Amino acid sequence: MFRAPVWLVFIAGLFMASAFFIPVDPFPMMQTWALKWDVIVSAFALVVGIDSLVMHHIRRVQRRQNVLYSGTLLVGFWVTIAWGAFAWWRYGGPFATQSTFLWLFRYIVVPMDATMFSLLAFFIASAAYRAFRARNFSSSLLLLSAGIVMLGRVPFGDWAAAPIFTAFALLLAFYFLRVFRQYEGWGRGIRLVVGIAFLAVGIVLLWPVWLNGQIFPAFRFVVHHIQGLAGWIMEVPQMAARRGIDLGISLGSLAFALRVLVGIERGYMR
Amino acid sequence: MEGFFAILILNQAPELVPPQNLMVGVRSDGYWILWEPSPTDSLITRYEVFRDGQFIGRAGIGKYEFVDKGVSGPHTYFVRAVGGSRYLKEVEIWGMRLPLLFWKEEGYAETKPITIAPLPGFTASYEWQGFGFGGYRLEWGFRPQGFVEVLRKGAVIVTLPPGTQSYTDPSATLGQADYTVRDVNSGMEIKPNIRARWFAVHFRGVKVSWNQVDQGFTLMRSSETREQDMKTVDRTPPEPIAQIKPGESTFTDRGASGEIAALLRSRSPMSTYRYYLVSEDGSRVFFSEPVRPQPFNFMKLPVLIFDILFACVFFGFLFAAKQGKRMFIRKIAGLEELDNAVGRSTEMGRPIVYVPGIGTIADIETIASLTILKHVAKKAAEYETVVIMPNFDPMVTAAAKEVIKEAYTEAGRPDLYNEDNVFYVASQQFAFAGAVSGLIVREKPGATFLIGYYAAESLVIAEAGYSVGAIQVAGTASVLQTPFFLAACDYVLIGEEEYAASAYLSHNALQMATLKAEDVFKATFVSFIVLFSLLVSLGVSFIFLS
Amino acid sequence: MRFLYILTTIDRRIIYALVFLATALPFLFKKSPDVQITPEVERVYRFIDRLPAGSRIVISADYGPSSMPEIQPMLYAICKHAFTKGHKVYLLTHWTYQGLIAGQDGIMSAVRDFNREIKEGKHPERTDTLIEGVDYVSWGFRPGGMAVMLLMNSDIRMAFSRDVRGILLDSLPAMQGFRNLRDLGTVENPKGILIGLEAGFTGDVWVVYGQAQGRWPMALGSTAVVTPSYYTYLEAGQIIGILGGLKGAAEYEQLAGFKGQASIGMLSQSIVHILVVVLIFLGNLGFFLARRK
Repeated sequence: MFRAPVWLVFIAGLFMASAFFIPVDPFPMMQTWALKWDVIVSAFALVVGIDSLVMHHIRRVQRRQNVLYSGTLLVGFWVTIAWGAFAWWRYGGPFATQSTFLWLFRYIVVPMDATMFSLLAFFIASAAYRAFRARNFSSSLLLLSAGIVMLGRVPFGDWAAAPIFTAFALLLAFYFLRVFRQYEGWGRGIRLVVGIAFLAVGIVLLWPVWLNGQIFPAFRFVVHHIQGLAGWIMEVPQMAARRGIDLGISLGSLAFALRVLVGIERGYMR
Repeated sequence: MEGFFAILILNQAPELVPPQNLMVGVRSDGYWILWEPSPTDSLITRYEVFRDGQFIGRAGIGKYEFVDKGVSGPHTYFVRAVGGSRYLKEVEIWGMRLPLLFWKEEGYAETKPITIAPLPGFTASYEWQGFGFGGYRLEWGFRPQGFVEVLRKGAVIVTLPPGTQSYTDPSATLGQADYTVRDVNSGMEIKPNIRARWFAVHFRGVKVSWNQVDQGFTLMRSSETREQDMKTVDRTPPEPIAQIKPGESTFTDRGASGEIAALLRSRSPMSTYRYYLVSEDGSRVFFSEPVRPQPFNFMKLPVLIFDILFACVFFGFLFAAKQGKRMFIRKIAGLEELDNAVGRSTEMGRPIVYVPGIGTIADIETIASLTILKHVAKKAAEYETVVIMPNFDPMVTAAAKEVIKEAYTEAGRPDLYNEDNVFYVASQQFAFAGAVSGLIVREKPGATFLIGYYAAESLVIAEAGYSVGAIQVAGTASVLQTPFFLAACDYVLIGEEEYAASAYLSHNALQMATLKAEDVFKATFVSFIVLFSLLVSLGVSFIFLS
Repeated sequence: MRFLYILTTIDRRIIYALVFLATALPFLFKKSPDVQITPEVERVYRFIDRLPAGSRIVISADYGPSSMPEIQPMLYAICKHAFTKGHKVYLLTHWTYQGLIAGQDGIMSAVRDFNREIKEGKHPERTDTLIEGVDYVSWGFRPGGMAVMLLMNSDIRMAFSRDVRGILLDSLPAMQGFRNLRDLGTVENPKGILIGLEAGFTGDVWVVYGQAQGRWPMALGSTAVVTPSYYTYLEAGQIIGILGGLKGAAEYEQLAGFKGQASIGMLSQSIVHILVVVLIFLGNLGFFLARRK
């Protein structure tokens, strides 16, 4: 087996690792060289990449396959290059302030970039609607905490929280109290109790008692505490889980790097 | 009118005041002569610099420095201000204030000479401290409206901007925690919460020492930082840092620790510090040896120790596996499903799409993704399913082509490999996301694999895959993107599962053993966390920093 | 109970339409909710407010078009506040031409609006309109990132010899007596402030290489996603405050006494948030009830 690439990886990796600890020459200088080489190699790779892109689409046009899309790409590609070259000749640089090449940026790239990014709002809404289902205990917890955090993070989300919770409790109470008769034994009892509990929560939230001059005291309690609760969820349980994952990631990447360094991991090379 | 008076008052020299605070510093290319403008700066046309009585050069209007290149050893400098030949002055004549134009030959004003010399035995070195005390951290609950003063034993040590709620006092001494915080606006004083900070390795500052001197001196410091391109140099002129009393012969410069620590944290700290002793009348300057980076950055010592420990455990398990010891690794659902996803895609007669994310070849996540790609491509070759792979980075494109070709060859089907299915798309995040979603919607793959480094485009791509009903396997180490994948994909590799993938998929005992090293360290960390949480709950309060 | 089944399977196109309406309609009404002011934002506002007139506000616009909705209102609000206080604004970017376009658009719209207000007589202390080179300067973009920051600590003219229009910096009145970033003073004795508006991690470089060496006052404004990672600098006392995401921008607008894009955007954001929660609850309700039948 051809072992030279493995040795190359080992030596280069070890060298870069030592440069991390040793701040005197020649290490920082050699590191700078390595980084410069990286830039040079990627510049050449870009040429190869552009070749791959253009040829891919030319072949597709030749095969009459998605001609419209591939054609648009090719036209856009050549127009950009030609316009850039023209701007170079006319304004001394494609990105000079008065250059018309900037129109491409300002009126095509900028709006399209912003559009793609803002599509996320739609996708998040539909993905959240599908994914947040109380399938079992842990996903119910996820659902509850996600709801609290979302409502706690918007200016009048706290005011929206109480009616949503109330409506949810009352609807569930209505459902359980309607269906409990269809069941036998324990099932019936449990459903009756759960239904009454939800009804109680709904009534407590809406109980119109004047307490210290306030109507709906429980309702207001929810309103006043939801922001604090959202903050607590973000700072404590969320942060704990995140740190745990981060810990795993750093150990995982360290072990992976060691496997690459000593040549056990060779999947990425030929 | 002006001319008339000008002729009258010929030949009166302007009264010039010499430049102030002359100082000579040392830089890599020579001596650096600096001064502050004379109070009569508006009358001055140039400053002339003299070395050992000889004129060596001049500085024009608005320049208050001069570099005497290529000199070393003891020298004496002074600067002469040369005054204008024409100037306006208001003069009161018989009760009237008249602006008069004076026409005059040049006036001069010289500074006192200053002697610069190296001082033998004037050295400076880094002072490191192993595990130790690193100052007190103060926190206070109220939000001050005005500036905040922090008092230690009744004396103000620092003034902080309005609204500040915490401060760390690095120059504190252990056991002396008498602090008060005062809101300047309201005059309210409170006692802050105090926590001690402990360092694993602590950089205390630069220790400067010299042979005992008999008179008082001002200690100054200048710095010179070279950037990675070796051309950019950032220089700070000598700045006073302390007053030295007669008889003292050492000083620890803690003020430098913040700056030097910042430089040491950067990858290539090519910086030099130099110290000066300036006599009280400003006539003599002695400079020290330059302080250069040490051959080993001790701030990273904990990292090195940790790395070595980890490597030991890693190789320990490796050799244990070689001896034939069997190890248990838990099932990872996302990786178990890789083959099923390829199989389902084959049944449906659709291609599979593999997206390596927006990382470059330098990202470890991309390398991990390529190892998973090899496994997927091999399975696809066995099932004769097409693999389409759009790429963000041209280098990854080149590497991916090789990986897929190799996988097809290993599966014994090199004839199925079509180079046209692995292509470069765009190196702009959302252009890439748009192109990939379009590709997925058009090709309607049976399975998509979104494995690698992802940022905000994760959900755009994953939703496209969901909309065409593909089985989706996603994996990223980015904690921010994992939730999006969880919402839109069927199987998700969370955190380090992506890195474990190739070892897990290979079913090679040697590789599996290395995963065990991670588990050992994770268990150690967890026990440390539990231990210190208990200690903090019991009232032992501290912060660790490296 | 049949409608409950429908709730579990709302078509995603209907959801998209709802999100679109919830986002777009608030912009037509131009109503905006009051937001709760956080200390991080208030500190930045108070700091700029208390600077002596004629101080220098350097803004580094390190973001591109995709983050413009979140960050552009910060730039606009800070510029307008600065102009009201008689400060000078300086703009630069590290994000190539995307940052240049975004930053220029932001500062120019603030200048236009402020000049209109002057003509309407809303700022009686000002007799003339804002002039480029006197009241604000756009330095533009230089490649190099960290190296540019280090250079600016010693001499701005070494990094930017001309402004974006190609005029020598030395000839601009706004640049008189402004040699390097150390001329911004210190937190105790401020003569200006540098504000990094960040969509990525250029802010880290600003703090670690720029602020750590120059020790001038600094604040950050960033997209909501990256804001948590900048809180370490706030804790360390290296920056005086952070404007986090659209909410931070809305808070600043509220402090500066006007309701702009961010405040209006906050209404959209809130309504979409509530819509998502309502959708989730509805979807669950249907799912939950359907399962038990």
